Amino acid sequence: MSHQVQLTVNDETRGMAVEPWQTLLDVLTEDFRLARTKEGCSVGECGACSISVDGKIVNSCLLLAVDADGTDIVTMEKATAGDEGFGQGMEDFIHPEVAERRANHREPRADGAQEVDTFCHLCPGHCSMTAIIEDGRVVDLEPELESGLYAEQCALNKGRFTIPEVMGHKDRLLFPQKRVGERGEGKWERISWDEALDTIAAKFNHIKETLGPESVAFGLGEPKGLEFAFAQRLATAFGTPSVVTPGWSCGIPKGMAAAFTLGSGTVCDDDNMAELLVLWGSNMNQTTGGIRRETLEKVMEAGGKLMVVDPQKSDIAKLADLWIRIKPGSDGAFAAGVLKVIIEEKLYDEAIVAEWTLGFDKIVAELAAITLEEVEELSWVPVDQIQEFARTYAAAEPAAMQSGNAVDQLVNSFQTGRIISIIRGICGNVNVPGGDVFLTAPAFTRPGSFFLLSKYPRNTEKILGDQFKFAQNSAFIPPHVLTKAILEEDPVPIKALMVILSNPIVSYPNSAETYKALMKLDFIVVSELFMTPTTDIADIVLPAAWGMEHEELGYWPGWYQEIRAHPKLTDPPGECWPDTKIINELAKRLGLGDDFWDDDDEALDEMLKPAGMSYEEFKDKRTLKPTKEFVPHAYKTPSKKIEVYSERLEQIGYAPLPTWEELKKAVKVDAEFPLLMTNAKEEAYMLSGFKQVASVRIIRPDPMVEMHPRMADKLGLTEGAWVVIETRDGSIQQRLSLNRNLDRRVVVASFGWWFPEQAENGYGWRQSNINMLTPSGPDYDPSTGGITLRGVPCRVKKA
Amino acid sequence: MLLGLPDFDILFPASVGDAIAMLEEHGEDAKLFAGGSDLLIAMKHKKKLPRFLINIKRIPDLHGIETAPDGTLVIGALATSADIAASGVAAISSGLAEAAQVLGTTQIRNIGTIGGNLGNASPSAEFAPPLLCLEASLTCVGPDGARIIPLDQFFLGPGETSLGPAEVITEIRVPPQAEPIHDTYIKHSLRRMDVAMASAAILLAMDGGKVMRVRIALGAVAPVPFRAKKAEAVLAGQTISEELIGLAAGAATSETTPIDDIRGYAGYRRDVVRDMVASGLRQVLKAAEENEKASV
Repeated sequence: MSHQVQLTVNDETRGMAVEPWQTLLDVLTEDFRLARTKEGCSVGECGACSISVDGKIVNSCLLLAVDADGTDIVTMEKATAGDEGFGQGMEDFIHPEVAERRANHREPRADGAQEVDTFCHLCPGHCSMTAIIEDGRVVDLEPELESGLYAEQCALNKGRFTIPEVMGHKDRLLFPQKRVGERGEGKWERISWDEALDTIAAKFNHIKETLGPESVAFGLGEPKGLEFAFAQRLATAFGTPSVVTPGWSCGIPKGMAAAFTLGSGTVCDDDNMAELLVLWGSNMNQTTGGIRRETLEKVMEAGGKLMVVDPQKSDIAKLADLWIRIKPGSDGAFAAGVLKVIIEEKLYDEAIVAEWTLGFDKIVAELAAITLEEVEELSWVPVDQIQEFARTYAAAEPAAMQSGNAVDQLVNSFQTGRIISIIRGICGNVNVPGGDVFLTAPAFTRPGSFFLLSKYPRNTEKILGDQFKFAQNSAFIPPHVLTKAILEEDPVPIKALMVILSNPIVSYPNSAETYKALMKLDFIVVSELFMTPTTDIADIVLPAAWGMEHEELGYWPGWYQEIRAHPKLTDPPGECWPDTKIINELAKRLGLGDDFWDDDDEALDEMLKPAGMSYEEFKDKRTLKPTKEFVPHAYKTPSKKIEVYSERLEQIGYAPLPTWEELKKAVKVDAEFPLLMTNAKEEAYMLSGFKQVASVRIIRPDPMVEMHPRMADKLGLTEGAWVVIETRDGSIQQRLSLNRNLDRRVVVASFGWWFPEQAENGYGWRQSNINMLTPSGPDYDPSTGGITLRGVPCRVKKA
Repeated sequence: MLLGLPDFDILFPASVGDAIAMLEEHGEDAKLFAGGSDLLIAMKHKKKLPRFLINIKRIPDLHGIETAPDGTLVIGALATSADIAASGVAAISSGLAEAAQVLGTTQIRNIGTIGGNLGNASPSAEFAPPLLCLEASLTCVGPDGARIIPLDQFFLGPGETSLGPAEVITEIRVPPQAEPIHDTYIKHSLRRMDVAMASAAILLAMDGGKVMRVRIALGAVAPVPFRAKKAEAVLAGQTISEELIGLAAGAATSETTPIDDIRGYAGYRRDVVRDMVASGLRQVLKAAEENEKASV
């Protein structure tokens, strides 16, 4: 039952009808369209939604709109209106106690605490932070507001909450351990670093001698510092091409698509103003690998427009001028429809098409054969919305468009990325200020060079044959290639695995198969912060030192073309070693010391040699950033034009033109599995990590699956109850939450769930882990080995 | 996936009587709704799914903080932590003022009520330890009228109280203290804004060098906040020495039944209790001694 209220927000009074379950924040975002006031944690921990009500600061996420009736509401949009974007004003509004503490301690800090500037290492956003260090412990991470580097933390503050707690966590691994008893029995014996490294080296060299180096594999996660680069270097020097990295489902598909179409990857130009921002399967308020949140605020406040493509009504979807509620997995079809409209209504820049494209007529012909009604059926996006999206995008001068992970996790991600790149190019948004731009990297050692790929070319065909050529060129294999090589010993038998920055049991598709594969291995070594489902079945577990516990350089994400200093702020606990040291010392014992260093820290200077400075000197500079020249039409393709049709792709053996056959690919639901399951990054966590961190576990204590209330009714399901989600590949349980904004045919499950508190049960890896439900293919993206992970047919029933 | 609220209807009682009638009518389907800083979170986590929220915030006369003519401190159930921190309660009890200042964040203190904090009955309820030391009681009104529930009979288990299904807490009553008291509240948590991993309130009334009255209450280390009576017995009537402080701290620890949870292990919590009781006693003793000197 709705209630009439009068809401006075920043001196503007509006009468409106609100539902009891609408928070004031819901109304501020959707009806008043505020961009500075954000939804972070939703439960009153983070302060991102802070407002003043009758002079008192409260969390608008915990205030019902009906209770705000007749009150005087002032938000950051007014209270910090004079500040250009995120600054001390907003920070003090969100964290009044910190402001008070700062006000009580004049420089130098009266309580003896130190302040050191650094960057967050939790997620690719790498916000600039000031670490507050007391008694050798990092106690807080404030936004660093002096340098002008991006400092507005994710709305939920996951780095600020997670990092200090992890550094002092009661369950941190402190010394090397080896398995005693059966694999997975949970019995461990403490060993020395010497014994650990000698054991690993002996095992690896034995396998190399008897079977070949390709039989030793590495499982690597997203780079934080140099550990990923060290591991790749080790793999190359050792002679193995069997290295799994996240590249198969993150960054590579769209990066390659841009490279083959436009000549190189692009990034959204946060430095200059755009008329329009498009967030396609991405939400910068919570995760950042592209457009900054500061940019969103800036553009919204300048009267710019926002379009969001997302099956969920995320907070930015609520703010958007146009929300495209897309069918999960149908981005290829939708992109084709948008391009068709741009072409047939002649919305593109005619001069660009005439002078700067190759093969334009071919895509015109390809898309002339389809109808927008077909696109609507495949994508669930009404024809008028496809048209509105296309017209709005083409009219903007310029538009910045960010496509996220979701668009990279489909079997046709590469071709979909090609269409998106073409759309960017022909609408004149490439390499213009405010648009999607090329970067000129500053001088530092290229990661590829650090990996020694030229010195010791990898025998990639040994493990990949002639498949997945982009994987071959980007130094990775997809995870399903690893599991097949282990289980079927095809094309080579893999016998050992070293895991760094990763939890394969939880994050590789088809967990049951991954588990079976790992259990079959002769030897598993894992470097970790905590025990996980993957360490649980390892032979040797090594305690890793983390960011801020050693000197580190961060160069990832690669498409930002920057390098950052992450200085050591405190000693690591126990006997923890940074991964770079683990790998460096292991390399020596493998007889590969010539390609490594006496001390892993020497690599820091080596990375910076091209810049003509030492790491110590670089620490003062903190970062080297790329430059943007905005040279018009600087396409580094063979033809020097936007290659709609790519001969180079044809030579490699892939379709030179995106085809409708490929773009329209959709996973089909059926009577047995009638719903479509997707997922998104869970705001409180970094992927599968940190479920044992209290400050974020209280924000999201359980794995939740969301569904439309009518569908839940139809299936006889009760909100809050554990329900069973099943696909062809497996069955899990998550707790049901009803969401009116979802399409009734869609189910949004939580990714990355396991239970640190269930040590006796393999940490509950089977219970709620979405990868119990995902397939390991085939079907594969022929260029990268990708699988469709968003939009998986499922059914949901009572537990 | 941001957390939305489930479906519900909201009711606005104009009086305590209205609220009681609504509780009787809807039973398990309804919950009292004050600040919402516990209830709305439980609803967003889909742990509590009431069909009706009975919004008691507009009922008059439940927000005041006053000292009655007989010296009883009467705090309306809807007084927020911020209200209590800003009032003059520090003159009556430092512990109560400290609890009001350290609960949650500034934002939470502006909406969270003392009635809600106690009614939610978390083992770590911030206001419970100092109020147990002050031997406070709650005025509760239900279909059969008003009754007084001493706080030490109020908590039955985590989230469970002796409130009847249609009863509403209207006041917290702190009896006048016959002698000058000195008290403190200490909270141990990962971050200041977190719920306590272990908490302690210590209260002393001294006569010369001897303990006339001692109250020690502990939070977050048992199913309910409770008075550590064995520890109190160690000190009652005694002259406090370091040795006695150690014995009392040890006794207090032995009365706890902490659990392992995501915030800390049981053993660690016991160690924290020992340290907190010892340092709390020293702190309060010092305050008492300084007060004696000042009044001489």
